[in-house]
Amino acid sequence: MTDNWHLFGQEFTSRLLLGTALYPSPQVMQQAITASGAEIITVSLRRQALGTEQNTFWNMIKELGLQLLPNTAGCHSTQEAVTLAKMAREVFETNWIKLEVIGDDYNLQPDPFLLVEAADLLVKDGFHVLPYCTDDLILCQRLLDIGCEVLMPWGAPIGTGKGLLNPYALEVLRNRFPEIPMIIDAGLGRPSHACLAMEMGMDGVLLNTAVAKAHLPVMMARGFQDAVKAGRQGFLSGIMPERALAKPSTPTIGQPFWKQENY
Amino acid sequence: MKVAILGGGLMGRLIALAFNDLKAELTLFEKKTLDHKGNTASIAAAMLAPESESVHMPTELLPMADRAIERWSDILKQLGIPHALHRQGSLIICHPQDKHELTDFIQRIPRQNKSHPLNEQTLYEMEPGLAKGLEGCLVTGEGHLDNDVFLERTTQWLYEHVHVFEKAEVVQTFQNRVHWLEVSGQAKQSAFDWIIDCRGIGAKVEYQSLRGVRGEIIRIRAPHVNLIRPVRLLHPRYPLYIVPKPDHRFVIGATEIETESQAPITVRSVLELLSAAYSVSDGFAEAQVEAMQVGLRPAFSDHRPKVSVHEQVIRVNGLYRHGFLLGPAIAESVFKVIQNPIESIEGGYVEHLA
Repeated sequence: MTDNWHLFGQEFTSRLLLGTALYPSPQVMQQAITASGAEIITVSLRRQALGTEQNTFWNMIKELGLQLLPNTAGCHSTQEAVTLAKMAREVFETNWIKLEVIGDDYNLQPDPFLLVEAADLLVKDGFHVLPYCTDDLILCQRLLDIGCEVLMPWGAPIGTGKGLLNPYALEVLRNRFPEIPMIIDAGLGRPSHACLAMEMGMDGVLLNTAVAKAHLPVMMARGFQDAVKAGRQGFLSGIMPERALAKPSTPTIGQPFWKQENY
Repeated sequence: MKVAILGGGLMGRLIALAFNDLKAELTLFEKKTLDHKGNTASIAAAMLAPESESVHMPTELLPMADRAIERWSDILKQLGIPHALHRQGSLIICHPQDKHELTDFIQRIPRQNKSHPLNEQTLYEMEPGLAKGLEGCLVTGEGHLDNDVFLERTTQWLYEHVHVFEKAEVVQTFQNRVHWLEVSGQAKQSAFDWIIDCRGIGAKVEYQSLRGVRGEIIRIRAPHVNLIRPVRLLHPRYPLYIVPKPDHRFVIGATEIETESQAPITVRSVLELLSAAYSVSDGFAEAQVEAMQVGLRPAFSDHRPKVSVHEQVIRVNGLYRHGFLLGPAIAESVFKVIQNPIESIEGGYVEHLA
């Protein structure tokens, strides 16, 4: 059974999206990305965009031959994000953009109001916008209303590694927008976090710090790849419902009586 | 034996010093002048911190770093400036809310017996110049050196012992000949037995994968702050180091940005570096900012330095953040190559030569 998925008309096998920042070296970054099997990789250009035409680090990323997803990390205003997105389109020759508009410097929480405003401008300008958003249902609805085709709600604030802080809200989003590609972006620290997200029926997960800052990034990249596959297979194959009463997997022949808890 | 050294930065100087015993006839070509303040060796904080740099350096290079630190002691004695070396250890500190950063950092220290935890009180007793309320650890065996003193002294030494061509831009090396342009624009060439290329990012054209990693630092003079050890502040977003220099001067650094732009430091970087420094000691509030500098660290994709040998040309490059930490050991390796010539090493790792 093929389980490929599609984003903006492109078909992908891997459901793990990986960032390119914070690795010990570009070589380790390249090895980790290869080990993860990721086909979509994010790239930041905010602080690097200081006016040089050739950037060897960007060239190393381009050489991987994967779908690049530039981001607007660190932008605090609509104008800043839109300008950076346009710059990214030229530099990386893609109209894909991971849209981040930060509303709070401490926990890097997205500003939902400016995010919708910036997404609206970028969608109208022909961008394929992947909005980094909170797990708020109404915010996600507004993003879809203005033409976003993908949602990227957070699991937890960027770089915290806290996992899925609000599984209820994420489940609501999944149930309300079953046809919309949904990628959990940010806050995942362990492979099990990624596995849980995939078990929920998310279409993919995006992470960076958990792999890049691991003591052995390449091994961790493999770990996340396996976790994403495990979670996806769990979701597809039908996870058993939880029960209060223990149910033995071995037939209980010879015990004909109805058992109840003792009161 | 006639030896040409291309580049008068840290590596060029260390190689010249290493070759002194060989009684070779040395010629050094420097694109700018030897006292130019904008070269990487001058901008660097010159920390000697093999454990603390382990996040940025493959652990296989640790023995080389140990050897280099020992060599520094000899080199500075040879130059008559032994006081330029400081080895009282270095401090790793954090604010209480970032303690997880400290835990993570300590876990990554390769030789755990070098790390000694410090609580608020013991840290303050060790460095009273620091703000109260910080925690951290002391990493023994580490230190720093006064690079300005070293550079001044070696400039003088080079003038005395080496044929120095300043403002001489090397345009190419062909077989055993160096072709260069003098400041007048006149093209010249000369033959050598060995050519040692230490031009750092200036030799980028010779490599496919060499890149410059931008670093920004701020030099301040803070008469009210006393620190004797390099201090690294761990912070999720604004990590920095503060390295003491003579006469209450400090180097605060350094950003690490993947660009080869040498445009002046950005406001964002200034705010980050200075506000983080101020959080370490409020005495920095009254400091005078003496310089804000930008440099490019030459780095290969694996962040290891490389020595390559092709016929009579030896190229040394990719020292990244670790010029002072590894430089003397690399100079020794180059010296060994010349004593026992190897026909060709393509992009060989220096540890294989050591």
